[in-house]
Amino acid sequence: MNRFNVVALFSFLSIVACSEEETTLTESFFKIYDDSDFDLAYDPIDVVETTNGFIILTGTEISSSDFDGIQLIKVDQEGNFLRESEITDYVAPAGDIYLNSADSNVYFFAMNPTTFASTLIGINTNLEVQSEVTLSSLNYPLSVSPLVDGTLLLLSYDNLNAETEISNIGIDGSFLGGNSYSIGPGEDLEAEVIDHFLESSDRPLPFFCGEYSSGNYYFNGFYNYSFSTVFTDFGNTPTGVLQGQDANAGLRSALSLGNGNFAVSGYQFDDNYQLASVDLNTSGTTSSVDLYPGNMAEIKPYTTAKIVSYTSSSETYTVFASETKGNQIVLHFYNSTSGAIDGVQFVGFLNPFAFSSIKVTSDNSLLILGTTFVAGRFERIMLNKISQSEIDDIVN
Amino acid sequence: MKPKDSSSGSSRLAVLSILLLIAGVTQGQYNGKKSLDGFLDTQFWLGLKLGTNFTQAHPETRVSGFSPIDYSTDSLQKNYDDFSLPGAQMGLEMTLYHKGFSLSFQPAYKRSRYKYASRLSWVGETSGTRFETSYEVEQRLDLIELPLTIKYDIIRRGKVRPFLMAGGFHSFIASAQKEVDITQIDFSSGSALQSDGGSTILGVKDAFKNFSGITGGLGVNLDYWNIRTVMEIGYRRALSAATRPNVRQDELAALGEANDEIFLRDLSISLSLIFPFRFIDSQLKAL
Repeated sequence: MNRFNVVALFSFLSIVACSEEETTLTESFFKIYDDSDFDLAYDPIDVVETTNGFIILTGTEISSSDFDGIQLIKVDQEGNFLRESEITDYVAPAGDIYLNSADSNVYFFAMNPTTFASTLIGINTNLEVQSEVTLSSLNYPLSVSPLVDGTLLLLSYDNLNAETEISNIGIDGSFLGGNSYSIGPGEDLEAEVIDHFLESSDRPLPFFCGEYSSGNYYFNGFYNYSFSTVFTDFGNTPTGVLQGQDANAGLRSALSLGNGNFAVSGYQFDDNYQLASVDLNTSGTTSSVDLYPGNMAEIKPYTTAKIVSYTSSSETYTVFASETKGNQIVLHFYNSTSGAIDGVQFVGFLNPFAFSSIKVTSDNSLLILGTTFVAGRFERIMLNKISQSEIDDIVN
Repeated sequence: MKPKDSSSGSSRLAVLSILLLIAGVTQGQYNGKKSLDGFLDTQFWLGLKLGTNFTQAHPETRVSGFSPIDYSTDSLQKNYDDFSLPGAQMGLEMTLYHKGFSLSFQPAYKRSRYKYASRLSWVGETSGTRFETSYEVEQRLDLIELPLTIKYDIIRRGKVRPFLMAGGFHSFIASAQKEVDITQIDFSSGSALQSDGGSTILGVKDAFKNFSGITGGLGVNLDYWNIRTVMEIGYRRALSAATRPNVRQDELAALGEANDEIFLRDLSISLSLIFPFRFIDSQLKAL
């Protein structure tokens, strides 16, 4: 072997050694936030990306109230725990949590444990409270959706008049518009709302809200005796209703795709289904049972479900996140063009996992928030960031 | 020559060994000095090499799938048991010898093994509410190893030729398996109730990557019969990590199991049987 061959061999080895691509810790991570407290359990609500990491909003069991307490957890860009903060004056935090880019503060709604009034709380990225605005006429915050104009859509429950309220709230707590609609007479439905707050049911109600076109909104809540998807322009009567069947059938999540077209995940008693693209009648009364195409047997009955739109390096996908009967989190990637499922990803093995929220990050990764039972018994928060390159592998 | 009497058998054996060694060297010098020079000055050797190895996993950066809220990350550190599990390797030895120096390429299929353990515990407000889990992990790596070394013969003549060697290597990950044994201890009954939390074996090749490093060692060539027997002790030290830095979302993530940034080091003992490619004729000239 002459000198040239030796040099060539070493050059080859060097090239081989340097040729592998790999994701970095900021692009992809899987973290479980453990606590040594034997009795502690978390109920994560939502996660939001900040300029230097992520903030998780979670409920925790507290001894001073039957409602969930509020805990905020700050993690860095690699998912490592940085700090936590408890907000003791309020209970029952509601998602989504919203980052206001104008002041870099994070906003979410919670409830006064005495008056049940909704309160908009603003914190900075160090988890220090910057603002608290109580909306005394809006009780029992159920769900929040940030709107494209930087304001918030709040779904709440008026326990005095037995009405579901939908309100547009400014980031300063100002009331910008809204209306309320009767859930129907009787106490049965109200009991279900209260059970939702006390988490005493193993069938969590899928309250959600959003905007499907400028000035037109939808919410999932009790209306006229049933848990339904209601379309409204804040008029005194809804523009349209997709009726559920009591709380036994209806939608568990919806994503507006524009022009009355939605991606929806629905349930029909113990059955679940997903429709990546369906035109909903936003100006009339229809029934969710007519949407039911058949059961997706792997999905857990009464699962928590969320839908996001995700654009990979080449395609746009509608991503459905839900839980399986085997207590895993499952992501279904529907191709927005063909409507076909291009990929399925399971999150969580060995121990039970539960799903809370899914977000698309600024680096085009997917962020999955949930819980897992460490050692089969300790309910701890799980945060999984799936990089774009990993998603490309899932859908190809 | 007869060895002196010695009071112990081991002393006699040691003296006998030394004498045999000297005899071998002198015999080799006597037989080969003139006639085999042409044969041995430049020679290409080819043969089989096999042996065992013991690996140390050196954690350069500590990583855990758990991120603790109310306790230190230090308590999540894995405790590695260095050079404790034997592995094995087998491959070829291709050596070009020229006037005391050899360039040796020794591709091999190698299994490296190492193990580590970690422990977690949870404590409640009331006495007795305590629970512990411990994880014992054995990591097995199958490697295609390509070492290239230069050997220097300390003694260039004779049948016993000790040598020193140094060089570099590149290892390709062929496969990787992780076996986790879980033990749980529950103190809620008032005493420590230990139970088997199960065992999991998982292919984890994606969590590892090819790596390179340097190697050195010493050995001896034994030129008896018509083959050369090479006994060698080597040390390998990786200069690049064998693990991928990100925590993989796989079956072990729920346990908080994630690879540290590992640089592998190992001690190996091997035996080669190699044959010369150039032969001599009846006139003791190289063909």
